[in-house]
Amino acid sequence: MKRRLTLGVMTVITAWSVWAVAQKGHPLPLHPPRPEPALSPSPARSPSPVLAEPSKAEVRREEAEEAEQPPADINWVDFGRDTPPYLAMVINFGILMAGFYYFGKKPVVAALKNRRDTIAKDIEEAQRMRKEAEKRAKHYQGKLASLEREMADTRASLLSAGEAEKERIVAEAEAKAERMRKDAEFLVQQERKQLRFDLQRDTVQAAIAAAEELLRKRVTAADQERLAEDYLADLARPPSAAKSPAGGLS
Amino acid sequence: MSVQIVARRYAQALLDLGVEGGSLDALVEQLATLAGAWDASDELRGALENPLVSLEAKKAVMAELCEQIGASVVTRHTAALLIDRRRIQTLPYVAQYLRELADKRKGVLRAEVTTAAPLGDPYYERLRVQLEKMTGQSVVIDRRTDPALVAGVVTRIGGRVLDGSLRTRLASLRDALLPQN
Repeated sequence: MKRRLTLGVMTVITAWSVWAVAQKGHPLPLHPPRPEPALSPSPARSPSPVLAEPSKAEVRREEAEEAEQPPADINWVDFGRDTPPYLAMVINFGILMAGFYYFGKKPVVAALKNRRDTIAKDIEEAQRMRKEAEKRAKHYQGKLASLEREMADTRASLLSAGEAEKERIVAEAEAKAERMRKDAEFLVQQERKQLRFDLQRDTVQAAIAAAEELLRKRVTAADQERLAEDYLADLARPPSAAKSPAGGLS
Repeated sequence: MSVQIVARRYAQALLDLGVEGGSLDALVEQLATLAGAWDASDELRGALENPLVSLEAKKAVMAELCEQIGASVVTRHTAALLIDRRRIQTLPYVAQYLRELADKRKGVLRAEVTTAAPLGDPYYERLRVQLEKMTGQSVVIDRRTDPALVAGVVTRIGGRVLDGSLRTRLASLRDALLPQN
């Protein structure tokens, strides 16, 4: 944290120095200062004592003069001149670089290492993706190659399944029809049995009713007395011999 | 309270009164006659059970009926008490239970003999003797006639039914002829 703070401070100072140099009007003058141009007393241009704007021709002329002049000597160690000593600037620059190196080595190395690892990972990921893409491409190519065969197999399996389903449905329908036929036969048998029973019952009841009616009409007082005597005789018999406490009828 | 329970209590009280007064048989017969009139006459039942008819009118009707059958004082008072207590509908049960209690007291077994047509007294006498032989008890016969029997005799005695009627024979024949379903 402290290292980063230091680096930040150094960066700010460097940036401030560059800004300060830029404010002085770089590039640094390599020539001694020239005398200021004389004020033009020409009343035609301007009656007031104002600095005259140099014309283009004058500018060209000054540039040509500057080009003709030899470069000034490098100020190595003199602190009294307008420009700072070059050696001091070099030392200053060296100290700055040493500071940057000392404080910025580890973060930069770490950042570079991190960057290298990230790039390596990206490369590995890209390679993996490329392999997967190649594998997928092979897979789909294989699928495309076997598509016709799969379609044929699918069609055959569908036909087979449809045939089996048809057979199952037919078998179920036949079984259901058989059950319905058996149920119907059972119902018919039951109805027939019930009808036979009802017919026999009605016949028996009608016969018994007719017999009772006939007996009512034909039974006489003598029959009543005879039946009563038979009843009495049945009561007189021992229980094992008696069939029923009733008599006959003539 | 059940009609039968109420009737049993009245019958027990009447039994005690009849025994004390020595008129149990007459009491039994008179109450049986009143019960017979009750069962036979819808008008009598309608008048005696109608809540709109006053108790005095009902008592007057019952007194007239008792007068006609020559009922004793106990019988008259019993009928009047049943009317006062609004228990006149128990009269048949009272008569029946009183007869049963009287028969039990005398050791008599009552037999209800039903025939399709009336028979002669000698036959009933021989039947009574035969029933006494069978049961070992003194038997009294109540005669009834029911043409629905067609012919023959049915005797109900001591919880048993000795059925010798032609109607029952025909029913047995019908059951034997009917198919088993």
